[in-house]
Amino acid sequence: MIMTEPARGKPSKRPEESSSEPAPAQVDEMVLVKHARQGDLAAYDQLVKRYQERIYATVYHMTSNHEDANDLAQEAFIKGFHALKSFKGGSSFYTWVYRIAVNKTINFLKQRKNKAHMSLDDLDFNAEHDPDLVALISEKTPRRDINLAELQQKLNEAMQKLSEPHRLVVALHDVQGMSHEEIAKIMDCNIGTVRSRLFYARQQLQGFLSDYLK
Amino acid sequence: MSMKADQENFEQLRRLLALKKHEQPPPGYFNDFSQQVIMHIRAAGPGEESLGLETIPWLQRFWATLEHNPLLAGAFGVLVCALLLSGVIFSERAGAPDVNLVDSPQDLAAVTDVSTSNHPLLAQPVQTDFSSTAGVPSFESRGSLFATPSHAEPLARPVMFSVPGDN
Repeated sequence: MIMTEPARGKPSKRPEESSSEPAPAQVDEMVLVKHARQGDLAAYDQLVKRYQERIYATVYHMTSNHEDANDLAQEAFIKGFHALKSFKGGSSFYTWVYRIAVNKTINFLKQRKNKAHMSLDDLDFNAEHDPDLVALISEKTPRRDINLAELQQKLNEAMQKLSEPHRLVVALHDVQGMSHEEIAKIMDCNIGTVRSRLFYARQQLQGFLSDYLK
Repeated sequence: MSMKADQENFEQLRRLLALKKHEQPPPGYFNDFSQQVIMHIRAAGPGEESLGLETIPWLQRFWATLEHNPLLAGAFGVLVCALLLSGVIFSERAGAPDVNLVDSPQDLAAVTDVSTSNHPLLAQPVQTDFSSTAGVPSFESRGSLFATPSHAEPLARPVMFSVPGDN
């Protein structure tokens, strides 16, 4: 069994930042992957713990549904374990499992096309104290009577109107703060495509949310 | 519209999108998430190993396209069936021996110069009711391989055993 420091909520070092020596987190990941490939479930458990929140968040922002996000995130990790033998190490395990999750989610969304039901996660306590949001609601938003829950609902409805690739780019970049390079690796496309998708998606969102923006 | 103006326009949107960062699953949700994943892996057992096809992007894209485009899926199905059929037909034609070397029985007789109805073996009725107690006909005494066997005189001979010292 491998014992490593849990790295929950702590972003792993990006590939472009790495020097000739692999970073400790990357070494740990490689060791964990090696053990998991040999069937060591404790090692895989560590890998799941390391990335579960980010994978869940991405799937959630794509589906806007807690139950679906839960199922898809779990399925992605399960599939990842069974497909570990095909993992060649060309990318990080993180990018690889992300790709599995994203592909699963996109396929799921295409099948769910007509399902309009949304089961949103509750906003956490900090939302009410977020200076950006306070400013947005109290000063900038033309409809000042709107509350956070309604704004959340409208925002998610607007997100769902985007195509899957555009929604994914917004979720990864504007919500989760990933770099264009990371997104390009996950989506298996070039950086220019990521940028143009992001620009188009933002324009679309602005149109959908014009009532709530200045 | 300049890039700077775009960035300013998107600033409001960026602040609105910040709201999504606060959408969190129920407290304690991640405490047993990994355990559930491991439990499912254990339940599935080692036999359910994947071929890794799901990680091939072009195959996934192709499959997704088929799933969501019935016309294309139908055309692909027809193409596969046509290929299969043509393969079967081609293999049958290539593998079957060419038996039509002669066109008619007359041609066959002319070629072989043998009259099958005059042959002595073929003229006799075929005996099909052999008795298990009847002797086995022997062909040793017959002069010809094609001579008629005689049922009246079975040529089986009794075997004499003599045990040494049994006098």
